[in-house]
Amino acid sequence: MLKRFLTLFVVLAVLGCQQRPDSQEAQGTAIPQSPGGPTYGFEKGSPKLQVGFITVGPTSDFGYNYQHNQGRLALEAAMRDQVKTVLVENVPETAEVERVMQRMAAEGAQLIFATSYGYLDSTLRVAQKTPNVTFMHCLGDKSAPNLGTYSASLWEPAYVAGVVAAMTSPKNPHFGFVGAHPIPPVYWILNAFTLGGRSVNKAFTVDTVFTNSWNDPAAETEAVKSLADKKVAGVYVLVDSPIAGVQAAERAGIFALAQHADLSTFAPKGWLTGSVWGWAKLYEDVARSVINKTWTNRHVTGGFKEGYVALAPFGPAVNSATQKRAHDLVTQIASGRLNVFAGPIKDSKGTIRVTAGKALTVPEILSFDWVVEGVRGAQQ
Amino acid sequence: MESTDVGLFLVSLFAGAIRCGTPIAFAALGETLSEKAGILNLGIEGLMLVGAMVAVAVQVETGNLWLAVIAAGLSSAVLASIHAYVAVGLGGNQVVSGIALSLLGAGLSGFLGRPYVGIRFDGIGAWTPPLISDLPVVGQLFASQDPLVYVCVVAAVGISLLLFHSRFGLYVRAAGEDPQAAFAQGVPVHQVRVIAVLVGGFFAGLGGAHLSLAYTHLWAERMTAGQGWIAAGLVIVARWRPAAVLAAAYLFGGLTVLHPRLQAAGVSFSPYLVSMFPYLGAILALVLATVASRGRGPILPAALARSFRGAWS
Amino acid sequence: MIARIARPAWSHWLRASAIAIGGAALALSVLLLMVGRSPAATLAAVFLNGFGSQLAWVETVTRAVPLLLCALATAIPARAGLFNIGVEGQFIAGAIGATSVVVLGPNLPAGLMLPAVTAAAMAGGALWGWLPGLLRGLLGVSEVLSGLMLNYVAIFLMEHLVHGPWKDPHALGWPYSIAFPNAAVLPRLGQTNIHLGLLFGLALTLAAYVALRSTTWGFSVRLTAANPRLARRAGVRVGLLIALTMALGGAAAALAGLGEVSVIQGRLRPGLSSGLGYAGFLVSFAVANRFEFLVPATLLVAGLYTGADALQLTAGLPSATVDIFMGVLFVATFIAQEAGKRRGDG
Repeated sequence: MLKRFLTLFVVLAVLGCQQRPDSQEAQGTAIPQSPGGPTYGFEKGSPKLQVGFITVGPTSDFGYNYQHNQGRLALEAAMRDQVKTVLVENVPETAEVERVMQRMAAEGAQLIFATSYGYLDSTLRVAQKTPNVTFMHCLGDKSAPNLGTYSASLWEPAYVAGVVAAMTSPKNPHFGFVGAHPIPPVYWILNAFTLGGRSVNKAFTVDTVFTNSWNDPAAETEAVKSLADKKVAGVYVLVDSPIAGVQAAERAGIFALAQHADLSTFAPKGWLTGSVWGWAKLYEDVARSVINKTWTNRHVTGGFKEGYVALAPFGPAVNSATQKRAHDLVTQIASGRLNVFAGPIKDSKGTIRVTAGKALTVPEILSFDWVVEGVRGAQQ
Repeated sequence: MESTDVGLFLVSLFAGAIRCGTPIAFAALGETLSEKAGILNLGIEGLMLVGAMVAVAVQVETGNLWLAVIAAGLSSAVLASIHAYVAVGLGGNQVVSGIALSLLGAGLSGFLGRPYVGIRFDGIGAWTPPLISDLPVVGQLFASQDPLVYVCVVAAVGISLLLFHSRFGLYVRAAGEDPQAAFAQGVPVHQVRVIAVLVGGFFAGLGGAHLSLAYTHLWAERMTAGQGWIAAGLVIVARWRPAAVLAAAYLFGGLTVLHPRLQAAGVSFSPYLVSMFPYLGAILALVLATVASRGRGPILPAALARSFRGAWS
Repeated sequence: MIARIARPAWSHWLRASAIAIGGAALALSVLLLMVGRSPAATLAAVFLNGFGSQLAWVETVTRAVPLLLCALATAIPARAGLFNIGVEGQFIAGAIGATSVVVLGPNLPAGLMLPAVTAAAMAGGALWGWLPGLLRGLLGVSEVLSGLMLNYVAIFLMEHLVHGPWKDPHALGWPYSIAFPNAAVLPRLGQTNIHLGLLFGLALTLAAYVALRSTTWGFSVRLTAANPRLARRAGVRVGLLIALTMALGGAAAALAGLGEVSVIQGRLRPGLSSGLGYAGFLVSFAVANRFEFLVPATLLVAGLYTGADALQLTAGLPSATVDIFMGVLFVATFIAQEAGKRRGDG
């Protein structure tokens, strides 16, 4: 009986498994290392720095987790002789995190990147228990002697994306925004995108829809469709995996912008640009500082200047004047001449939140709970 | 809003409701058939995921959409055969087997579907049948829907006819109401139940295929996001009647698509409380169905989830 | 007595489990070969990661504690013939109950905090179990379907609370409740995440075992499972009994939720459970809901689950492999059990 079941299982496996040769490598779960064949896992006792990564979702999402994995792969490619990396994906924000981190520590990890905000308390506890391992927690605000935090000013490219959107669609300055949850990292982007658009065209508005989930392709598709029905010129998609939303925009014949990674291939006609995390550079900088013993638990962050964020490649609809303007803005922001959140800024109710001559501080940005003028439909 | 705006809003809403309800409708129709035969299959979530993944895999490899859809249905039926084996063949525990199956389906689809994440492919596009588009209201609702939406409507009618107007349907209902008595009357209870589970699995696979090929045009791990469990609930809401299943799925689809539209219109509400309604509704419908089936004729299959250990005829 | 006679000998379950684990290992080996990994080395790594070191055992027990409580939540009603599929919802309802004390009564004296939090958690879980039990006992409504639906009601209730009225204003806008004060956290063993829930689980298992074997109440439970009509004629208040066992199960699941929300998370937040309720359900049925096997079974499954870290950590496989492994394990267990039972019967 068991045999019959197993046969079935194998048949099913083979049926679905038209294994493409690039399957594992393309997704970066396994990198061939030594000439004797691929090795997986940490190399305890090796002179290389052993770096662990933990992601909350699958690294195949072409979004948040994908981009962290891209950063890891780039780190390993750039410093092949100095680092060895291991990634564990789909680790829920429960007791699992602590276990995986402790296990990584036990197997020889010397530096661990906890890439989800929800790992906060667990990372703090494991950091206390394993003082010899260096921890880096993404988007967090709590540190310990061996626990640092990191983030990147993704609002910088989002602002430029808003400029690109407004310049590309002067006749219809109404855009849509699809976000996961009404929380600060979504508000940074929504606000910066809107401010960028309004710096070009005072009539620029953004209709906002939340899907209330980080990962629900059907809901994202429907959110884009509902915005397209409202005759928006394009949408900015911010969920863990923006593929569904970007493809839905392309099918609806509107412009698409997205966050986390370069998704231009999913909307060959309507793609404008997007905001991309530059984790590759940040991970390299942190790994070097650990190797050189210059690491401290300070908050590592940066924007265009440090190379920790980037603007995604432009789509065909973006004309050269707009592209030039975008490049100028990137230079201005990188050099500090332009501050994305400089006053005066009004909120959506018309109250002045930032007066002229002042700008929002980073802690204020990180705890955004209001939206700027021009945003419509966001829950307050 | 202008009246034409309201009209457009409503058309877009109802068209969206149909589109969004179709994957769930497929799965719920399959589950209806299975439950009518007395087999509760809680593995729908896993079956839909496998269907969605196989559909994309076959489409990417062969470029043949209809082959992809059929393969999706068949692979889910293959997975459902495990349930048929445990629940019918061994007379084992249906609830437990279904839950284990949904775990297995999620894992298999995630593992085998990995090469197809983030691959672009030509999904099922819009198709308007000539006659329907000339109709005044229905024409607008069904214009620019994909062919699988029609397949789903046809399937609902077909399953309804099959269940209530055919000998096989009589066998199915007999197997689900009183397998002992049916068996005594010569109904091949086991065979009927196996077929119902396999066909049910096939439809869950079609639901998955619609979700990946026609609706979202992508494969992503766990992309059903709970739709399989909703399907199980909708079967109850619809009280095991295929036509009502279709209506319930569209209603649920409507609720889902109303969500972003209300937000885009600036209406403020707690989305989480709204999301609770279908489940509360299902509980209410379940209570009503159970109470009603005490007095008048049976609504709920009387032998649902009870194993039958008679001999294979 | 009736219920006892219907159960095959324990050696049968042992043999079935061995066959199932062997089958799952075999299936996983096929999978591993397909992607070019050594089955022997990988399976050994899974075992070592689950049971091979002190760290492994600590993590396995940590994982086993909520699993045991959730399995109990399934087993107690199951012995009365019920399928408590609502464990997941009862787990969350327990967490919501516990958090309600922290949010609504933050100024309770420290000595009262832990009893109050525990009682509120158990009340929440018991309510969530009692509802489908009541519907079943009173009206004959299937507890499987109503329990399944109530799971989602609990999840969305929690989401609503942490996104809305219970959101901590100082959590940078993230959907988190305020943190549990130290007085409201279950005591834990040293630096580990093994908490008082372990004692709750062991005590409850023992109590349930004894109660079922040697009390009149236990006899009525067994009688109800075997033949509700007979039980009713013998004077058992079947409806009441059903609601009571479901509520008891819910309270057990709630203790798991309490441990998770107070010790592991320290606050209420979405994604609390990650399917522990369903896992507990499967474990309990894998040993035919027999209390004497619950502890070893939860340890084994918890160990295999934590050990499966190795599939990602040392074999570089995607996380879905773990789901396949567990899915095959459970399916194989049920097949082996049922097949064996049939052989035994015939």
